[in-house]
Amino acid sequence: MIEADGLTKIFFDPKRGGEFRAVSDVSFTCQPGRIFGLLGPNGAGKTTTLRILATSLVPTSGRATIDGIDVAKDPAAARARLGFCTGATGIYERLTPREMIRYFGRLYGSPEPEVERRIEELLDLFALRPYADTSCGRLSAGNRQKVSLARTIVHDPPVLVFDEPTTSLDVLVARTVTEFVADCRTRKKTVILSTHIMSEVERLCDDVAILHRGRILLQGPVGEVKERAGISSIEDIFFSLVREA
Amino acid sequence: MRRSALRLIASKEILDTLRDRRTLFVSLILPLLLYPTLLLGLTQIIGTTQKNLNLEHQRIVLVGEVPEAVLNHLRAEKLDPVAADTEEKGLSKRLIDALAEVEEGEVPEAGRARLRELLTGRKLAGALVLREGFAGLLRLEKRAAAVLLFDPTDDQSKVARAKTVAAMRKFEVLCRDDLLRRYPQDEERLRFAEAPVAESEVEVASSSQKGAHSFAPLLGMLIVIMALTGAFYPAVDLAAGEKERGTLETLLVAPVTRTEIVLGKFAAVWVIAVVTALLNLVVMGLTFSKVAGMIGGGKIAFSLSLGAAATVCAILIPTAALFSAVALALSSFATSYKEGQHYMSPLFLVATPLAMVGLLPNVEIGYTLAVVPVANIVLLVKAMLLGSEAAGPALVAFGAMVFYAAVALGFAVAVFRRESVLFRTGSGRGFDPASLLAARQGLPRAGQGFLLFFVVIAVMFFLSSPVTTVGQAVGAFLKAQFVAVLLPTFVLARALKLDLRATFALRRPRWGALPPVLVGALATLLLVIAFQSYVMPKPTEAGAFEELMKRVTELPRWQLYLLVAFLPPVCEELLCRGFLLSSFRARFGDLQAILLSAVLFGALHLDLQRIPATAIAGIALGYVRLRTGTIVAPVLFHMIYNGTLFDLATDGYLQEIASWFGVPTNEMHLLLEKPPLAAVAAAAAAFAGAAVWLRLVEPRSEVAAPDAAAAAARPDDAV
Repeated sequence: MIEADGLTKIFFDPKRGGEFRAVSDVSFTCQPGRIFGLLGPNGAGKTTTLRILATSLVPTSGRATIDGIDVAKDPAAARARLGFCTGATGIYERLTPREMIRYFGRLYGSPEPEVERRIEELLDLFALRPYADTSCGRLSAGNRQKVSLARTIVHDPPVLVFDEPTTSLDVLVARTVTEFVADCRTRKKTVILSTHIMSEVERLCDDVAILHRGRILLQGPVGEVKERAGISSIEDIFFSLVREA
Repeated sequence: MRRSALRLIASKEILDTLRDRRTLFVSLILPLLLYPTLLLGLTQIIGTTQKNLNLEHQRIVLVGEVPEAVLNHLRAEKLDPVAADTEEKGLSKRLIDALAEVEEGEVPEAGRARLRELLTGRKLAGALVLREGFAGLLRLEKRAAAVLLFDPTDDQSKVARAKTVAAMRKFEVLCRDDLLRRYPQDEERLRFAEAPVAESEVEVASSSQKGAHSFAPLLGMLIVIMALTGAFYPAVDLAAGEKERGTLETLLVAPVTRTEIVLGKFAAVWVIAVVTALLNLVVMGLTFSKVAGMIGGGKIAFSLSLGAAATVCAILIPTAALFSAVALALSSFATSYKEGQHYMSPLFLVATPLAMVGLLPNVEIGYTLAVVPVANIVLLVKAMLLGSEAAGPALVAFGAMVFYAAVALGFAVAVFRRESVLFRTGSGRGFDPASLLAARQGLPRAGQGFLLFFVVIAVMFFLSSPVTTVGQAVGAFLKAQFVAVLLPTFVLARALKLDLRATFALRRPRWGALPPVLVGALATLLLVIAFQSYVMPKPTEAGAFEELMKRVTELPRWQLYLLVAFLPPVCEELLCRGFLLSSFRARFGDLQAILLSAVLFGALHLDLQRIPATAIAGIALGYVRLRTGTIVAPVLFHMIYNGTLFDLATDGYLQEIASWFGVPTNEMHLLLEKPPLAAVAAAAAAFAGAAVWLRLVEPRSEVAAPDAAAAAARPDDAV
């Protein structure tokens, strides 16, 4: 479970005239077995929010917990329970998929036999076996993304964070990713997904929060949100909210 | 090919390059800012070591019957001539025997080595062999022979040679003048008088020593370059490259700490740097020995003994550690491999002149140069290859390199902890020189403080000129204060639209704070004088200040006090305790800001040896400024300090006042040269008292003190 309570992040940017609030008083809860969608245009604060959850950034104020662990107080423990994947996540091009998974398995501190067992499991899960010993740089975009996903779940985390996972992917590869995200729900994982693609929210998410200029404008279960706004598509809701804001 | 298209493309590319502010900053502005500081520091360090060598006395052995006049000239040149007979018995015979062997030309190699052994074994810098009947021949107006033995691979010996040649030249002039006086018309005699002594020189170094001498500085340079490039490219790949490929974020979400990441990467870069540098050196060494054999025609040989090779390796390891840490820290700033390469130029910019030190003549590693990074490496390699005694400086150099590497590594870890640096991905982001020109909350930022400091030094450097007249001294003083110190400070403060009141602490002081400031200034002055006379000798370098001191009588007194006791306190305090201190506080905290601004204040006086003493005064000034919350207090402190010092040094009013009380002049002078320990103890007590007093008068430090901890938590730049 992920709980965010009043998360605020302030950056200093001389170009934007000093202090800049990337995220402002953001609170939400993600339940296990459900997919929580963070919807917003570029620059809305989605990535900053997710980076706070992943402990890469420290919030200026507010608190976030992962399965009850405060990300600011015990970042290492929080990271151990977290799988983090973005559309832009790179993989080491000079390593092979097997080496890549092994490196991260070891970084997460899994015992050696467990790491090797997990490698085989993931190679089968993502159908990467034929390319297991080819360097990642020579793989197709689809297979690279699969290696990235395998890396994300090498330690079988209970919480998964996807930051615009399908951006810059072609439709076929994007499909692999969205299928994987949906599969996480069936395995009772806590999933949070950020996107600027409205249809992705409708297709995948159980809950949604609409983020604009660092603030949550509206949140709730997807059906409820549609009902409350009296508009049928998320896209229309989004535009009406943004116009108001 | 169309010329218009060519011109179009070329002009677009030039525009494109000029708009890349990073390139401009690194290739134009940075050298302009850094070189003056770097060169000033280096020339001073080298100046002191080189000067020492010429002032030192070298021992040379005299063989044969030596006229008193020759002896006197040798002594006048600061040589210590010793007669061979007073040395161990038989030295002169063995020297002459060995010399005979060399001169016969058949067995030069062994003969030279034996001669060198004979000299260096007795710590002699050279030998002057006057052939049999030297004085008698001269009396008979016959040409007499002198042989000079020296070691061209040894700096002391080279200096001794130059001095001996000079002494002999003077002796010859003496002989000639004597002949001219006695026989002014005798043509034949005059021809003889042109060169009464037939001098010859024998270089006692063996061919391998000469080889080592030719290649040692080069080898040191190579080690530096190899370790630098060996470290830099992997560092850029592992830090900036990883960011660019998007794998860094992946790594950061794994449960490893950032310190672990940095140390892991550092270990990798270090190993790679050592291995590549070693391989390069092996290849280079083989090439050297081949080339040496080819061009030297047997006279120069280059071979590395096992011991020397081990030493080179031992030096390479901390060198590579230093460069690996620095390269990692620098390239962590970059967002891309390309940007990372930009940061290579400043590193080379700094390392190259430092490494050049090894190529200069008469520069040997001493304790001072041992702490100068890069220069110490080059000089150490040189010393090791030449077999010079340098165990002490070598240890210091190793310690210094380990220390610098640790500092750089700490810096790299700090960089890796900064969110703004780690997530500075995306198009065209990264270090933007323009960010140096953005203020925060009306106060200058630390980077802007450093920028201003380097600008001030650069302006001072370019304005400086030799001072010989009192007018020039006054001019230099005014230029340094107004153009170099005040103008850039003011211009930058205005350009950044700073809150001038806050930045320069323009507040009214409380009257109660003035007495402790006065006492503190006098106590600090005495403590600094004591420090210079007991701990660190005051340099005798002549500057505008000393020139003014010498010519005090040429100007009215009030003008002098205005120049020395009024102007610099105002200008320098606005810079150091105003702009610099304010800029460092938010980033580093109060104590560190005081120390840093004090060291920079010391450096501002453009004299390395004066930095420690000036920095002590700077610390007191910084404390006074933060304690009282106003610039007026340190300005006043500085005025009292400078005024008293100047007055004492020029026998001014204080001297006069003291004489009313019957204090003799020389006692006042003693206060400046070697203050009595009782006075120093009293000053220390007064100093502590003034600090406590100030604390009582001003119980809190400045109200609007920015909280350093909060500022540190706030990232510097946007993501």
